[in-house]
Order: sequence, then structure tokens, then C-alpha cells
Amino acid sequence: MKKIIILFLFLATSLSFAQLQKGIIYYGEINALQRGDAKGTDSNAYMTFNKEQSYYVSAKDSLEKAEKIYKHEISENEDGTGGSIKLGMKVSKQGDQVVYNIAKKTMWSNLFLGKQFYVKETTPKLNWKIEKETKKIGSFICKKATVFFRGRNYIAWFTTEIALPFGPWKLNGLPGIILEAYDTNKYVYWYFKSIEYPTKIKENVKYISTPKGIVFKNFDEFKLFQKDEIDKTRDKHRIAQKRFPNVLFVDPKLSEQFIEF
Amino acid sequence: MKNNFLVLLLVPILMLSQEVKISGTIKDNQNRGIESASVLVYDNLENTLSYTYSNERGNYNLVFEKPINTQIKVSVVSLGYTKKEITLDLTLKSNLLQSFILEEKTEYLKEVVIEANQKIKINKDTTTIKVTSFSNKTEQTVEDLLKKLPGIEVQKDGSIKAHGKIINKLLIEGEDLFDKNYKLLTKNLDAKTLDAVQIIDAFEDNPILKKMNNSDKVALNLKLKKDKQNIWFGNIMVGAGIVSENRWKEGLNLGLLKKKIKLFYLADYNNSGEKATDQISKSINENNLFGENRYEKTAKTLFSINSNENSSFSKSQSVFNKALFNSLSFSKKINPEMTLRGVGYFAHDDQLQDSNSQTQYNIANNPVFFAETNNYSAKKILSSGELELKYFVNEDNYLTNIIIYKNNPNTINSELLFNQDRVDQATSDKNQTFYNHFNHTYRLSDNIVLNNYLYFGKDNIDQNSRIESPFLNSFLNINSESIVDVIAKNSNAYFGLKSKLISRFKKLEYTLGLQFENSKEIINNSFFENEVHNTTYENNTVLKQYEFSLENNFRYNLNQKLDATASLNIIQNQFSLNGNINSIFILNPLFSINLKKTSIGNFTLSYSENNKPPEINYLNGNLLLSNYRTFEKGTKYEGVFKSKTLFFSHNLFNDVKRFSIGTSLFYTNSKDIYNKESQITDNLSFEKHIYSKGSNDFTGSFNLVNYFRKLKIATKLETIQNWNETPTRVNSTAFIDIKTYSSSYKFSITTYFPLPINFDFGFNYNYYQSEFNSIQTKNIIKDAFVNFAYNISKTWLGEINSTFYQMNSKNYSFINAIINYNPEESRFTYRLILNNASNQDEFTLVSLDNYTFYKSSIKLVPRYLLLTVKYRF
Repeated sequence: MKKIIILFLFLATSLSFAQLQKGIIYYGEINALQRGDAKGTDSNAYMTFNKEQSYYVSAKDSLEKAEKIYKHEISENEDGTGGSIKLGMKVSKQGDQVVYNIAKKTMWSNLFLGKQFYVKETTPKLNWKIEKETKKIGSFICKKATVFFRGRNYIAWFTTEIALPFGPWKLNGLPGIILEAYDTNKYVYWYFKSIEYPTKIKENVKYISTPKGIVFKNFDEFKLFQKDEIDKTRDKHRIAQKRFPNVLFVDPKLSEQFIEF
Repeated sequence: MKNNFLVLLLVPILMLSQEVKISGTIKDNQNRGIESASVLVYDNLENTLSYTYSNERGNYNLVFEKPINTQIKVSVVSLGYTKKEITLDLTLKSNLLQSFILEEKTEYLKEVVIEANQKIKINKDTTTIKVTSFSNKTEQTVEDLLKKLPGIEVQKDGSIKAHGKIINKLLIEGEDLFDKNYKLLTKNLDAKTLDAVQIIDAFEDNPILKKMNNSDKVALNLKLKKDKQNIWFGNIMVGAGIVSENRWKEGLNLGLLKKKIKLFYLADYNNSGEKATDQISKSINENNLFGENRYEKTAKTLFSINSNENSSFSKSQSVFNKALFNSLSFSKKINPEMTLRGVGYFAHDDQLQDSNSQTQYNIANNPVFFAETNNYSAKKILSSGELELKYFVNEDNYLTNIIIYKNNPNTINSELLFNQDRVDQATSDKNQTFYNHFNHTYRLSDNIVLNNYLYFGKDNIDQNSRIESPFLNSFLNINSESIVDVIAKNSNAYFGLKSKLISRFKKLEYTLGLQFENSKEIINNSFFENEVHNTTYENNTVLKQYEFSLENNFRYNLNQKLDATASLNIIQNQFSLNGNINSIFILNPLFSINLKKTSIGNFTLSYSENNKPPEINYLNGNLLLSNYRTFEKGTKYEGVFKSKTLFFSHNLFNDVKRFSIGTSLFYTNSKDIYNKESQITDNLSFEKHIYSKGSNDFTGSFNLVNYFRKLKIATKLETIQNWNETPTRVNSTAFIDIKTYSSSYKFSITTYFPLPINFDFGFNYNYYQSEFNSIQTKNIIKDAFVNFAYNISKTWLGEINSTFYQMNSKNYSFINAIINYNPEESRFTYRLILNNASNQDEFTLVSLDNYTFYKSSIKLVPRYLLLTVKYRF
């Protein structure tokens, strides 16, 4: 009897072992879309993953301290074409999420910009160029890979020691998990903080749920939404300019508002 | 084996296409396919040739170009399995079948990286603005540039606001050189030296208070270009009028910025209207509920001569002045804990101002009317030294001391035609001022700080005035060619001590202050008629005050949207006027509520009472001549000034409907004031102060901004309405309310066309109405303006500003233009300024002030063209 129980226990653990163990990576996400050089809001992000799926979230209010959220900030472009005033950090309850399921070849994401916008798309194929250069992040030996993806040239540092095609945000498809990534001007910058695999942490490798009546849009619809947002921001600037003539407001650009454009 | 044969058959075809194909299955040792295992192919130099992941059955497929060296390495990894690597030779085969069996392994990864990326963290209270982004290269001084930066506003008097607040300090490379006289720097330092401007929110110079993290002060830090470090740098500017040859503008900047010492020498000479003495602030009073305070008291100037300058114009249009200005400032680190800072300056103004004016007092049935033709000339000198020592003793103690000395002699002459008769007046002032501020801040605990502030100072004004007026002489019953001399020696000496306990807890901020102040003010004037005393018009008023006050301030931050402030100041003042002692008890409460970031906007509501003892100039016992035709007389102490203020504001920004609204309402009720009773005769007026009911004042303002997306224009509609009721006693025995109503409407449009030229235009309508003794008077001023900026090319820029005024059925138009030429990679900049292109020579302004109708014509600076060349080194 004892033997059976032990055997059963052993099987149970090994089964769950062989099944989906999850891991978690904590990242820092620096959004410096207006100034570059990684001079921007540094927010907390994490990615949970198993061998089938990853779930990445940032700009989530429960991850940030209140004083950071309400901090007013003014930033400007590096290329000297303008700037903007940022009233605190952009956060939402669920955060900006990206879910990537390998088997379904699908990516679900949502972005908060005044309201939530939900996108469902076929996992974008990134034509990574893997380079020889390596660097150590913690104890992981990371390889460098570069890609042009939706408006920006990215450099990613991935480790083959964790052989999964996941990475922060929508960066995916390397022969190892991405621990650090940034575009060449560091308008956006993800850096590694910690990893635990397997982990017992309660955060799951979950899906994105939409509120009632809201459906996922496709990427083309997202592009229309982006254009509309830019128009709205520009109009807002012009109102503010008229109201405060001594302050200079410069027209917004897609690249200053969105990571992908 | 069969498979291998098949592969061999296919090889020649694949060889032609130079492609290699590898496929296979990855399984565990129980023959189950492993999903999501990565397969990587490297050449002999470790270059990655290709990679893929296995599918749900463990199958993989790789196609890649055949490498030059045919030795390849295939590496297979999967989380939870040991890695497998094999080497293959592609010399013979190009289509390979390669399967793997991986051993299970317990994977446990735990890694924390902390040290990374600390360096890129930005200071959370600092905003850096790189100036090249906002500059169009026409800016001359730092001030011109600051005007264009987001979040920064430069006000008409040169003081600077950042993030909506008047800045506390202006730092250069983190160092305070000018303290409150930062205008010296912003108005003189060359804009081109700047690299970036930082706005520091929650600024606190005091390192101990800084830890409390409750500052709401703002400062600016100027970061200069890298090549300005550790060397002498600067510029020379030379400018001359090329049409009217009597215009000049010369300037010199010299700076040295080293780690241990920072030094600036700034000099300017011009006759284009900007005054040198205006750049220096007179006295600084700061009352900060939750931080340090600063008090500086001044003596009263009693005899004044009017220059008739017009403030509604830019100075370059109407001020005739020669200004010379020099300043030397430094900041030196004696050791890491101790800094010495000093400023010395010398400012000289020589002003000539001609005007004509007509005044009518609408009193009862017989209005008084007179005309003045005034030739005014003034020479003002202001020289000063300021020294500050800051000593950060240890983590718990911080000491600062500032000594300020100013010497300010002025001579003013005015030759006047009063109706048909000649009146001469001249004054010569000697004004010396000394202030000292000592602060000791002591940290009691993490949440509680004690600040002890000791202050003392003295301001002395010696004024000799000489008046030759036939009207004054006839009033005095002396020979009409007699000369009247008024010699006044006024002073204000004081010292005080204020201890403040500043504490901050999670949601509550609380300060408790205890203050003692002792002051002695004297107004002492002699009156001579042809060098003979006339004591009727002499005063010797001595006011001594011993004041104790207890201050309690609370601020409670209920949540991110709501905070409330309450403050109560309890004052006990022993008020001794010429030996008569009054004991005065005063309570000054303040309440305010802020509601922020709601869906319908931000709201503020506040109520405050401001009660204070009268100032000495209300308390002179005898008549005192305050200008060539006015005598003033005070009264004995009868009570305190009492006023109440109620304020409300609302702001809403609706970006969906593309508009914003701002509303503010301001109501002040002055319950008791030292009002004036006026007796106006044809040639003189007599004003006597009386303690009585004060005025009621209500101001409302509203603005609406819209943006029209299709038209690409932004519009702004703005109105200010004011109602005022002031009890007035002019040539009568009873107070009668003067009711005034004024309103202004402004409308303007800014275009955002996708063209090199864009416009900014609009019009303003101002209405003023007053009613006194059932006589109603009205005045209307209309003006319209058009500005346009034209980017001719990268190196050439043009700007035209024009304004049209309609006043009393007369029209005026002003046109100014600036052309800037900035050759690339040159140390020289050229600039051409056309001032008053339409050559308007005189401007008449009508103003209504209660029962007074006043019309003044001033000469305008004639058209000129000024060319300046600046060389930077």
C-alpha cells in the first residue's frame, strides 16, 4: 500500500513536471518614445511563460508606486523636432498585455490609451539576424540578434539556455528567450531583472479577456486607431497652445506615441 | 538505410540550389516527441546559420544556404532536457535526416540582476529640455530662449515661472549664483551658451528640508554646452543704428565654469528702452507655509515725480533711456560642505521722458481741469553686493547666512508747464539698504525638522526735494518765486526670529511656527520756505512694533484627487505710535480645498482673511508734500486693515470635443481700510487718511479655447469682468460709492497651415465705465494685431509683429520687424531690427480712474534700424 502511494505520488509529480511548468521573468520597461537614450519612465513588467504560451504585461497599476503614476513630466525629442508634456505615467488596471500562443500562431494584445484597445493578429514573423557577439546577463550567456520590426531597428539579447521563442512585448521567435532588448536609439528599452523557473508564483500564463461587448480588432484596425489618436493629440496640443501661448507645443508623431507604427 | 539511399538520390538536385535541408524528430527517452525544442545550426566559426523549433509531435525542419565550410554543428535544447550537440559534414550530403533523443533533467533557474541599468535612471523630480529642439536661433539672451521652452513662462517683468510656479532659484550647472536676482543672468547671458534647461520640481536648496520631500518649489538649472566647461568663454556684441545713428546696443559676456569656482561677468549698454535698474529686485518676501521664510522690510519714499511712462507698450517703443549695466558673480566651493556665493553689480539709467497730459476731476458741479507739459529726466544708480555662505555641517545641521548691501542714489528733475505756468521740481535720494538672513535647520527625526530663522536689516532713505511752484507758494502765502525744500529722512530698522517645526506624515503635513519681530520705522521730514522752517508741514512719526505670532498650518492629502489646507496665524502686536501704545490682536485664517483630475475638471476653492496693522505712511500727523501739487496727511491709529477673499477656479480640458474652459472668480471685501478723503482745488489737492469701510471687488474671468481640425486653426475667446465699489470722499463731507465696471473681450486665431508662413491674429475690446455723483463716464479701447513668422531658409529667419489701436477715434499702427542671419559654423551672428516702421511719433492714452479723467500724450521712439553683430568665443 505504502509503495503504491509512493509510486502514485511519484507519478503525479513527474506528470505535473512533464506537463506545463511555468516560469516568470521580471523586466524593466523604459518608455522614452519622445526623447530616446532610455531617458524615460522606467516601469515594472513581467512575463510568465510555459512551453506553449507567454504572457507579458507592463504599465499595470498594481506594479507601480502611486507617486510614480501621478508624476508630471516633460519630455522632448532627440532629433530636435519637438516635445510634449506628460501628465504622470500611463497605467491601467490590467496593464498593457501581450499573449503569444505558439501552436495557435496567434498573438493577442491590448494597449491602453485613454481606453483599452484589443488586437488579435497572426504572430508577426520577425526576420532576426543572429550575430556572433555575446554578453553575460547574470549568469546567462546571451547572443545578440537584430531585426527591423514595425518602424524600429531592434537589438535583442537572448539566451539559448532557455530555449523558448518568447520575449518582452511582441518580440518573439529567437532560439532562446530574450532577456534584454532595445531599439537602436533606445526609445524603448527592456532590461532583465530576475527569473524564476519553475515558479510557484500565483500569476498565470493567462489569456486576455475583453470586457463585454468589446471584441478584438485586427492590426489594420489598430493602425487606423493610431492615426486617430495622433490627430486627437495634435488637436489637444493646439488647444493647449492657444490657451498657454508662452509654452510651446509641438505636433505629435506616431513614433513618439507608439512602440510599433 | 533506405532513407539514406533516398537522400543520396536527392543530393545532386539540392547541390545545384546550394541549399541544405535538415529534418528529424526530437524525442525523449520514452519515445515521446518533444514540443518546442530549439534546433540551432552553427558553422565552424559559431555563426548561426539557421534555427527552428520542433512542432507538437517533435518534428523539425530546417532549410538554409550551404556554408563555405561544410563542417556544421547542430544543437538541440529544450527546457527540462539536457542539451545535445552533434557535428555534421555537408561535403557529401545536402539533405540530412537527423533525430535526437534528449535526456530529461530537472531545470531550476533563479537569477536576479540588480546592478544593471541604474545609470539610466532619471531623477524623478527633474525634467531636462534640450534647447536646440525649441530654438529657432533668433534668441539673443537666455530669457528669449526660456520663453520658448515647454513648461516655462517668462513674465513681463522678467521673472520666470516653471510648471506654473514662480521659480525659487535659477542654477547654473547646479550652482546658485544669483539667488533672487536671476534676471541679471537671464536678461544678459547669451542664449547660444545653453545646452539644456532642467526644471527641478519639488526643489529644495536646504538639504535637510529636501529629505522631507514636501517642497512645492520649482527651480531651473541651466546646463551649458560642453565646450564651455573649464575655459573662459563669452561673447561681444556690437550694434548701431544704421538709419538713425543714435541707437546703440553693446554687450559683453564672460564666464568661467570650473568644479570649484563658477564666475560670470555680464555687461550691457543700450539706449533701446530696456532699463538696467529694472533687472534687480527690490526686496524679497517669501511666506512659505511648509518651508523656509524670508522677510525684507523697506522704508517709504514720500515725494515722487511722475515719469508718465506707459506700461501698455513695449519699452523699445516708448522709453527713452540710456542703460549701463555690469555684474560680477561667483560661487566657490571652499570645501565639500561649504560654499561661498557672491554677486556685485552696478546699474545706471539715464532717462529723458517728455509728455503732455490733461487731467479732469469730475467732482460735483464744478469739475477741476488742468494740463501738464512735462520734461522729465532721471539718473538712477544702483550698486550692490551680496554674499552668502552655506554650510552643511552634518546630516542633521545646515547653516546659511546671506548679507545684502545696496546703495541706490537717484536724481530726478522735472520741468513742468502747469496750464500756463512753470513749475520745477527736483529730488535727490540717497537710499542705503542692509539685510541679513541667518538660517539654521536641524533634523529632529525623519519626519520632523526645526528651522530657526534670524533676520535683521535696515533701509534708509534720505530725500531732498526742491519745488518751485507759484501755486504752492500762493497756498503757503509766500513770494511766488520762492523755493520750497522738503528734506526727509525715513528709515525702517528691524530684527526678528522665527522658529518653525516642520513635520510631514503619510497624509498630513503640519507646521508650527513661533515668531518674534521688533521694528522701528521713522518718517522725519523738514519743510523749508526759502530756507526757513515751516513746522506745519513737518512730521516726525515714530512707529515701534513688537510682534509675537503663532502659526499653525495643516495640509491633509485625503487621496490623489482631494487635498485640504487650513492655516491659522495668531498675532499679538504692541503697536507704539509716537509713544502711544496700542495692543493689537489679530487672527488670520486660511482654508482651501483642491479637487484634481476629475472627469469634469479641476476645482479650487479658498477663503482667507488678511488683517494687518496700518503702515507708517497712513499715520503722519501733519500734512506732507508728496508731489508738487498734493499734500497728504495721516491719522492716528484707529484699527487694523481687514479684508476677506474668496476664490474659486475651475479648469476643464476636453480633448474629445477639442475644447478647454477655464473659469475663475475672485471676490475681495475690504471691511476696514485707511481710506482717503480728498479736497481738490484748481491747483492743489489734499488727501487725508480716514479709517473707514473699504471696497468690494469682484472679478470673473472665463476663457474658451477651440481647435478646428479641418480648418487647422485654433481660436481663443477670453473675457474678464470686474465690478468694484469704493467709498470715496472728494470735496464732500460724506463717502459716496464710486461704482466701476470694466470688461475686456479678446479673440484670437492661430493658424497651423502646412506652409513656411503662419499667422497669429486677433482683436481686443476693452470697456470701462464709472459712475460717481450720478455722472457716468465710459471709455473704449480697441486693438487688433497680426504677427507672422517666415522661415526664409535654414540660416535666414524673419518675423513681423504689427498692432493697430483705435482709441478715442484715433488710430495707431505699430510695425516691428526682425531679420536674423545665422551663417552655419560661424562664430558671428547678424541681426537687423526695424522698430516702429510706420514711424508713429506720439501716442495718446486716455484713462479713467474713479472720478479722474486722464489723457496723456507721450512721445514715441522714432523709427530706427539697428544692426547688431555678435561674436562668440
